[in-house]
Amino acid sequence: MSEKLELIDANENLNFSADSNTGNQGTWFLGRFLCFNKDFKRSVILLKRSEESINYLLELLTWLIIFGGWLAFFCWLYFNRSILLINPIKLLYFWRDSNSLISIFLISLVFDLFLIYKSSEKQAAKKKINYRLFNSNKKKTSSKTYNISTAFSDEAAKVIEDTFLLANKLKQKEVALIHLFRVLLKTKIVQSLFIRLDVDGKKLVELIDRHLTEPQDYGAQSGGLNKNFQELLVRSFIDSYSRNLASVDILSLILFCGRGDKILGEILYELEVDKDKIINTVEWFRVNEKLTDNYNHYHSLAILKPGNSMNRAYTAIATPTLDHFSHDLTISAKFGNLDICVGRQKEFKEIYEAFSGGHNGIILVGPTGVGKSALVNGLAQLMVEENVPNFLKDKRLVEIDVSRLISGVDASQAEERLLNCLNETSRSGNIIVYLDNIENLIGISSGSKESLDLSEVLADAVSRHNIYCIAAATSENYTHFIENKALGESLAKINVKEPGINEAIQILESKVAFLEHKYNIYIVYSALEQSAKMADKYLHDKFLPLKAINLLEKAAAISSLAAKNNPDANFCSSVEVAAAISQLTGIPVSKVTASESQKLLNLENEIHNRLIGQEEAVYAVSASLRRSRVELKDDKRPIASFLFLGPTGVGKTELAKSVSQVYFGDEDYLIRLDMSEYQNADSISKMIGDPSGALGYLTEAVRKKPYALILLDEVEKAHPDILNLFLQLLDDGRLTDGQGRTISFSESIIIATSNIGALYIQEQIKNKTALNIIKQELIDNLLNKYMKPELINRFDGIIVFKPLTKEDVCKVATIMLKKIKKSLMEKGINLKADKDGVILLSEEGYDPKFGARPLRRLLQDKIEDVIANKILAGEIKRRDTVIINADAKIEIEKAEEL
Amino acid sequence: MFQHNFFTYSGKIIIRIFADILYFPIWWYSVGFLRQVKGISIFLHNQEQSLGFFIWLKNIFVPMYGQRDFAGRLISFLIRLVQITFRGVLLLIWLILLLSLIIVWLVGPVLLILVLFWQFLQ
Repeated sequence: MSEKLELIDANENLNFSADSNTGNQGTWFLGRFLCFNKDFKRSVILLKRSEESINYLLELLTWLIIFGGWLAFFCWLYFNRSILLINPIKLLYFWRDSNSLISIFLISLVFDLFLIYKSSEKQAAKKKINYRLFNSNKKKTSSKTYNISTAFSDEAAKVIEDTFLLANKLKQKEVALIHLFRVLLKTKIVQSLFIRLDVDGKKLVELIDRHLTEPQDYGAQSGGLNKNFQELLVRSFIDSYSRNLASVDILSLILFCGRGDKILGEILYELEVDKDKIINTVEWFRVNEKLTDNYNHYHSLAILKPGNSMNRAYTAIATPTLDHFSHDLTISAKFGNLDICVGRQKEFKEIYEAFSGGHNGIILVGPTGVGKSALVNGLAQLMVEENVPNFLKDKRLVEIDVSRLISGVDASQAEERLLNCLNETSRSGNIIVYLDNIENLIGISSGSKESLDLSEVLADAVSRHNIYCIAAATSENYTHFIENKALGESLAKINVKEPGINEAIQILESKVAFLEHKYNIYIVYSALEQSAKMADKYLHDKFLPLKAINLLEKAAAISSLAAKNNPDANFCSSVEVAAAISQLTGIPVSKVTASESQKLLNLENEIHNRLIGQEEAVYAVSASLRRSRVELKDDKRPIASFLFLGPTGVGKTELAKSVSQVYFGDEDYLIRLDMSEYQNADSISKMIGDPSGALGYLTEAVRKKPYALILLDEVEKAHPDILNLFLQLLDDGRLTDGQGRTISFSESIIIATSNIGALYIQEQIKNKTALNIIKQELIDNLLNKYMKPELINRFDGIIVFKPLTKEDVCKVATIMLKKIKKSLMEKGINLKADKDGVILLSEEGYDPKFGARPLRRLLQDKIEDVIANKILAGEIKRRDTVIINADAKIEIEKAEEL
Repeated sequence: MFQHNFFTYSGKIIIRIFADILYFPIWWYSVGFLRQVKGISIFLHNQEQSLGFFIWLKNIFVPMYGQRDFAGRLISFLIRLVQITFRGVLLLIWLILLLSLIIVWLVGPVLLILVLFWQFLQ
């Protein structure tokens, strides 16, 4: 079966062409020419339908006759009850009684037999795909053509006929996929499929109908199925064949529907239904089908598995020590307590190969959450079904609890416990041990130098072929503790890789039933898709599928909570997943709402509420942020990175703060690094941590809060080695911290500020040189003295801040006074300022060298200090008004006495 | 290729219904019989699996519970003998039941027809 799956893929391009002999459209497949050869005629279809009705009536009649026969028999019993009570033996000779009741009963028995015949044939007719035709080596049949028209299930065949009738009714030239799609939409299974996909069914039908409504008159003689349709049927057949299905069913038809037809493709594209979505949802339905099908099968097989530590031949021995320190996974699996394992055929194959290749132990290596335990649980289930190679049959899979083994005792006692366990395992001969987090065994030794490590005891047993052992460890622990030890050499390494997005979605699908039941909600496909994609994108230090499962569960909990307040809201969709990820990371990942898009369009105005002047800088930053929010940016790189150049006090830091406020919603999202603190080469560890376990300031802050603005103040003062770190950060959007974790900066904005060339900028602005010329000069001749050209190049934008003009400073003064007013208002005191007074203050506080900084000091000295003194002296009380007059002096306007 | 029209097709329907009735006795002693035998053998196989008869038979000399001393071997052998006998008898009962089912399948319809004839002759 698995071999077949590798051989064929119905998704691949088919070489679909006409057969040279017959002219039938089809393709070659495993030595047969597949084609759909069936003549459709309206009258024929209608007659076939009436034949079905006649058959149905005949069946009903048979049942009635059978019922009548038994009724007659019971009547006979009733009439002869007095004789039969005296002599019950007479019952055996009922057939000798020449009575019309008995005749009726005997005749009805013939119909009983007929019913057996009909139902047996009906059952056999469900298997429509002729697998033997493809598997037999001697292909004697004269024709190599295989007509797949007989391989469709009754429902699917009916759908195809209905499609023909629809096209016929619309007087179409040929039957196209869009007709098929319209008919499929009437079937229950396809309807529920689109409900899962959260597609507006009405809109879909409306869109399809819009392209169907115009009957094109090609005369009464309408044509057959068009080429795309035939190709779809062949594809569906190949897909069903590779899945070993009994017949081609409706799900197989829908699988390929959106691909062959341009209009249909466009409609589905409009409704955000792509190829992967349909494949994954069909897979979901198939998994559910399979689960229900397998349930009984699994249970009938599970009955055979002993429910205790004994094997079926009773050759095993009692294992009291092992039982104490372990639990039996096969018994858990027998009673259905383990989660099912989806996919993972490759890993299972590797495990079998490793064992049959002479290894007695294997180790599953992969990051936390990729499904190592799920894999072992899956193996336990396969062992219960006995669907495993011979050496695993009639065996137990037992998980040794390492922490229990070593807890509460010293090393030598732990060693004794382990030895006892291994001893029992090897004597019993029907046990495979599983040790999760095997690194816990490393380094526990009874003390003196020569004594064995616990792990060596295990390694010894494995390499002497005494026991079968499966171990698991995370990738880092494997490299650190196991790889070069005796244990690492005795265990064959099997990498368990993180599944891809589609595989993760399919794993999530297997969890849906459980979550829906637990939270009493309905989960649609978009929730699964978003969970897998967002977990992949935003939760960087965890791994699929676990992080996606946890995310989905959180989203389910959110919708369950919402459903309590509003019973109609029990849908869990991508919106809830977005809410869940926002809660986890603080990243707003929902679709851009109307109010937010307004905010983004007015970003410049919003920023200018706090920042005066610097129009070019504000525009450059705003444009870049807009690009990122509608996801036009490169996924991996930071949202944006800027280098702000300019003299001190012109608003570089202020702009960074405004961006954090406006874009992230709070100034708290600012991570500020004063680069003058990183002037030595060894301050790298301060920034990214080191292997000893010290956490880096930058990496730790971003790991906890990936959605942030990182402000690198006075970047030119940092040591060149530290600047080299930023080369990689700006390009790939990631850094590896001291512990070896990869920290992603893809949700961060990076702003570096520098005073380089401040004097030059001031001079050139005074000379009225254009900004871009100044910028070029800075890059060419000044910046490169402090920074490498490749670093300069990697910033998204280098933005030159102009020195503030007198008018600018006046506006800044107004903003600052507003801030003072705000804090005074909290004390119940009003503040008014005369325009001339403000101008006087700004002129006094203006210094072309230091920008707006002196102004702040001036306002402190002349305004805030004076007001503070007056408040302390009791000269200003609540409801009073402080006035800055035209001479920039403080006056007080007393409020009216109450 | 296939020229269908209303009359030929409705004719076909009637023929098919009659053919169905005529085919029924032939089916009973050919395809139906083979299908029955197959079904019964699968059932029997599953019963054997669940009783583990052949596993016990195969291990008749293998000591139970890893008791490899003489007494252990002797007791194991005796216990296994008892188990095998018991399981064998159960399997035999199944076999007899299923075989009689096959006989009923073969003889039943003939008997039924004969009795019917007899009824009508009376």
